[in-house]
Amino acid sequence: MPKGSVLVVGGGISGVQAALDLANSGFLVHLVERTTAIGGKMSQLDKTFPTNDCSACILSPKLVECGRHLNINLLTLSDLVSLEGEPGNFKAVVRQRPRYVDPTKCIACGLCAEKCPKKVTNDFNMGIGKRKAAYLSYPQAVPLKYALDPAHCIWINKPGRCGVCAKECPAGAINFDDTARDHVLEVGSVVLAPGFSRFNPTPLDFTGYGRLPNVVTTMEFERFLSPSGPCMGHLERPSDGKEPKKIAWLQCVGSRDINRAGHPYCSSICCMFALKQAVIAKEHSHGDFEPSIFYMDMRTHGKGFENYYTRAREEGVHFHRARVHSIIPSPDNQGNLKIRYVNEQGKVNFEEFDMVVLSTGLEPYRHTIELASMLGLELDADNFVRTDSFNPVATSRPGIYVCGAASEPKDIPQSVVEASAAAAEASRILAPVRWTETSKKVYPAEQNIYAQAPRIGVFVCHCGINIASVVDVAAVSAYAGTLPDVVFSQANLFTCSQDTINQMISIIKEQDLNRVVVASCSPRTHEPLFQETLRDAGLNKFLFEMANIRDQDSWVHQREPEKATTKAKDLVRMAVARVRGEGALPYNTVAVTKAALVIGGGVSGMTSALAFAEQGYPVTLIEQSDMLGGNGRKVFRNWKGVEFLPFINDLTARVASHPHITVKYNTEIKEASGSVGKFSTTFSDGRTFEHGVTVMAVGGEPYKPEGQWRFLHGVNPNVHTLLELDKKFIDDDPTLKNIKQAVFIHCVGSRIAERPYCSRVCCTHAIDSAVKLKEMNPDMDVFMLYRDVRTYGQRERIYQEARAKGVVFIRYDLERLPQVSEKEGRLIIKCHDPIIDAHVVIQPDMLVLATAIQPRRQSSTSLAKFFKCAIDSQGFLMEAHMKLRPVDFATEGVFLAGLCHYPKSMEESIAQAKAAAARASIILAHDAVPAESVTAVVTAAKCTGCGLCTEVCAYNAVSLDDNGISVVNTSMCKGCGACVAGCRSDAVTLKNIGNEQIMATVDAAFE
Amino acid sequence: MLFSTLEGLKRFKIPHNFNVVSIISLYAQWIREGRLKVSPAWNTEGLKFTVQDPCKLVRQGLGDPVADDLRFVIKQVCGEENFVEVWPNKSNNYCCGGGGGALQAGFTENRRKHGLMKFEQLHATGADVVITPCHNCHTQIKDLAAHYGGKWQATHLWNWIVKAMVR
Repeated sequence: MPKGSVLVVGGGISGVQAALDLANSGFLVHLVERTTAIGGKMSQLDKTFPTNDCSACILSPKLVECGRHLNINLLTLSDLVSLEGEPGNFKAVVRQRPRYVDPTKCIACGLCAEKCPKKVTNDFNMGIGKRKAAYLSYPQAVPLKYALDPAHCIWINKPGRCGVCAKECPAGAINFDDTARDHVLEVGSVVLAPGFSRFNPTPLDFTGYGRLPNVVTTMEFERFLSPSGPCMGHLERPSDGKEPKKIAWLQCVGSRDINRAGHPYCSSICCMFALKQAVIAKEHSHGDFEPSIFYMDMRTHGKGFENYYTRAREEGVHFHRARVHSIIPSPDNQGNLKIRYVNEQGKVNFEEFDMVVLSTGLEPYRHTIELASMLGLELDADNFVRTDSFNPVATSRPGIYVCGAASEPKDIPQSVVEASAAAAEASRILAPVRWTETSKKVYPAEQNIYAQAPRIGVFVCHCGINIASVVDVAAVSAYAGTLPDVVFSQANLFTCSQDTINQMISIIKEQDLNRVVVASCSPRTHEPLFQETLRDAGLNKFLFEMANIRDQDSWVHQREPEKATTKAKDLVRMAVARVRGEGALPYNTVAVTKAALVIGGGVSGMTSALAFAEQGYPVTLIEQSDMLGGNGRKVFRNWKGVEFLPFINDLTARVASHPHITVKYNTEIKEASGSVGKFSTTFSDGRTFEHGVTVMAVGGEPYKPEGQWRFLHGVNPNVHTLLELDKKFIDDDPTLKNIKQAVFIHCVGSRIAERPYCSRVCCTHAIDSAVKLKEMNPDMDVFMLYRDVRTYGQRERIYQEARAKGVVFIRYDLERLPQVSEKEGRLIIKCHDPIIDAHVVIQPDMLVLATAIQPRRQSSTSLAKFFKCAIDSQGFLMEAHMKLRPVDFATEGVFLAGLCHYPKSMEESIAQAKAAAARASIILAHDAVPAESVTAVVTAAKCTGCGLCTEVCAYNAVSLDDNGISVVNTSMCKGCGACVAGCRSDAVTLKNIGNEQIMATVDAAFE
Repeated sequence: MLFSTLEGLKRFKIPHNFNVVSIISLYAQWIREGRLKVSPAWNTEGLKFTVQDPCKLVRQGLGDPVADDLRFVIKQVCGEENFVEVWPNKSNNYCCGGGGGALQAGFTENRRKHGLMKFEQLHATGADVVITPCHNCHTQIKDLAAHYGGKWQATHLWNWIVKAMVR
């Protein structure tokens, strides 16, 4: 019997996501973190691209969930030291270093740190400023427990010499005799998420880093921007604390550099990282601010990235396509910096800046390399953990999976996708032993408050400086205390932090509160956390209201603090008025139909279907054509030279023959109803399928060149698209060898006003095709007409290989498109080469167009309606959250994968498909899922039986009973309120959103 | 001489049982060991010194360690406060434009045009003395000063060590 538990190594966002997915789908997780707290690199970020979300705010709920999860055993200050056994039965030894603070006693009051006399460089703030030897790495740390730094603590190094913390600690939590402990864990699978380190730019002398104080790295700059950073979010430069007005970002420091950094790969995230910092720094600055970015190629290849780039240009961020020669101090020695660079016209330029930020690349941690060698894992040429093209989270050792930037530089959404994919892989062979090692949460008995007079508690949040820098939080809290029925009010630095949450539970009990208002960020992200807190305190979770004083107040009224404070008071008063009339609601559930529907028989759809089927769930896979394989059948090979067709044939065979998978060809969806746990879908053949979850993998399609992007495609027989060329490769067309000259045009239909996004894969695809042509005939001349070469991550290798093989790259821009004409059947291509500043005429035998990838607009749109999914302006399906929920829809129980989400490579589609299956498996692993509690109720006495409510209900939840009176099926009701608005006789109302509550709120607004 | 020996040993993989060091590193070693006694006391006028990092010696030769030794010796000789750092520096310093036969080959105008960058860089330091521990650099920088109107003198290192030596 395999073990029903999983070891996850690394507590960054990847490890946390993998741990949550596994623990929520029935496995006990041991989460091993090297430092004192989980959160990783993401916890050090200020904002995240492309949504500019506050990083701590979106990460914190996940960390708190992880910290409170019954089935996650969090081991901080720990390292995996040995692993024996085989998939299903591993024996791991985890060594936990001493914390010197007893976490069961520590109340996180911070007295130890306050009194500790020893100052230490603050590594959480990237070495800027000081912390103490007794410390908490950051304010929202999970677990929220202090630790002593053994390298610097005076007592630990010289016992008897200090001991102040032990004297001051009111909880008696300090334990100088703490020792290392070994935990022997028996687990079924292992997931590695050890993350990445940053390139240290000190050896790159031209940057002046380490010698010039105002040259910092992007990670350091992030701490300068962060409200929990060394300057409390006020932008100050290191040398003199002056607010910088002119900042330069230097891209590719330690990336794409084989000369001095030894890193041939692209770090993939730094272009967006720098863009984001330039935009955010502009928001931080008072008055004029001039950001400049020095770059080689702008690589904004992710979803929403190209728009962000365009917006940055419009907002006045300057872009210089140049590799900087040197950063030197300006002659007046006042801390300013002079940058020498050569502009595109070949002229040497000098420009002065107040501060320079180095976009340092990603590299593997030294200890990750050691861990890999201990585990016997293969590494690639760049020391990242080697994975398989068709199983992107599998390492070379069975049963051990890897996710996040340890296998290649990647951004947060991709890391989160891989984390879920790794969870899917880790649980595949463990499916039979789900729920064997887990325990179940038992909430305290809920007190019946029905007859009690309201006793309301109000918690007002600073949200670091997000709210407090604009709104007078103390005044709002004091004001809340004066409102009727409010018996308690308090202001907190971060209401979502673990200690405040624990404190809130005890306050609710002590003060005998029966209703709670939190004035903070947004219910969108934080309502579930606070509602859970109420349940832990023995209150029904619906006795809660949130006043949104950040997203809808401090963020939008930054320039008017007084009015913002007044508005915050108004919002709190309204929330109090509303919560007063609220009552306890039942926790409804829906029984889960343990079957999955997968829409789309391409690589993504097939991968998802297999992931479900291998766990024993029945799957119906529908495909609109008569063949499985989708777009995957049309592409030749990936950039690593691995051909797709054998893989796809194998995958198709496995899907078609799997006993749990029913494939329906030539099938579309006619109708769908129901919701999470209980969907009912009718197909074009009239059959109906009941399923608990749905995965949308409807794919994308190539853009057909037209207008100015047509370039004689379909006119001249020698003009092809990349897929048409791939067909020739697949067919082993002998005429390709005879070609003497070939030209590729990149970005055909991408990155233009009609399609303002990058199609992500075409640079790599086109360059690999050029390399293939060169392999067939080394004497062939190949020219690539490109805008920016976007061979992100390790794909940069194929770009280097192409140049080494003599492929010529000529850049074009939208103002000067290549001109394609023909004369007596011969192609004539005219373009401008910016490097030699001259017109170039090429008469090739073949022209290849790297055309855009676009969504299947029609099928996406109609399917999205059936399953109530959002679509973005381009027709791509829109995930619930770009950063942290990349495979979920806002509609529960529906998931997405592959090209319908955004253009992506096959390995990325496979990862996303597995991730979608993992996320959906969380639902399928349960017998019942929570259903809406805020449902409609009918006052039978007022109902006239007109039946309008049954017509407007989009969920088929309302019907007329035998007496002609409307009744609501609560398990299907979503609480949307359509029937309430539709009812002419005021007979339908929503629980807790009735007229009384709404009128009370409105009255309070105008008080 | 130093560079060609080093490069030859490396390129042709010639086995050898000796180390190639620069005299500059020996000066630094002797000063550190107290065997060569120098004092900046002579520099009562506060003459400002800066330095040229010769390509063959530093970037293509012995790297930043020798550049650091060079600065150490100069500071010992002229006084810490009288040394002005030139930017960019050490392995990232500019070429003087006189090497590779440029000084001997004619094309004076081109050579001086190339050297303009070096001139402006040195001029910006405001130094009175530019230490040039290489014959090519020395001649070129002297010529640049004469041609473009630099007020500094370009000299080798040893002249100033002699001046600073104490008993």
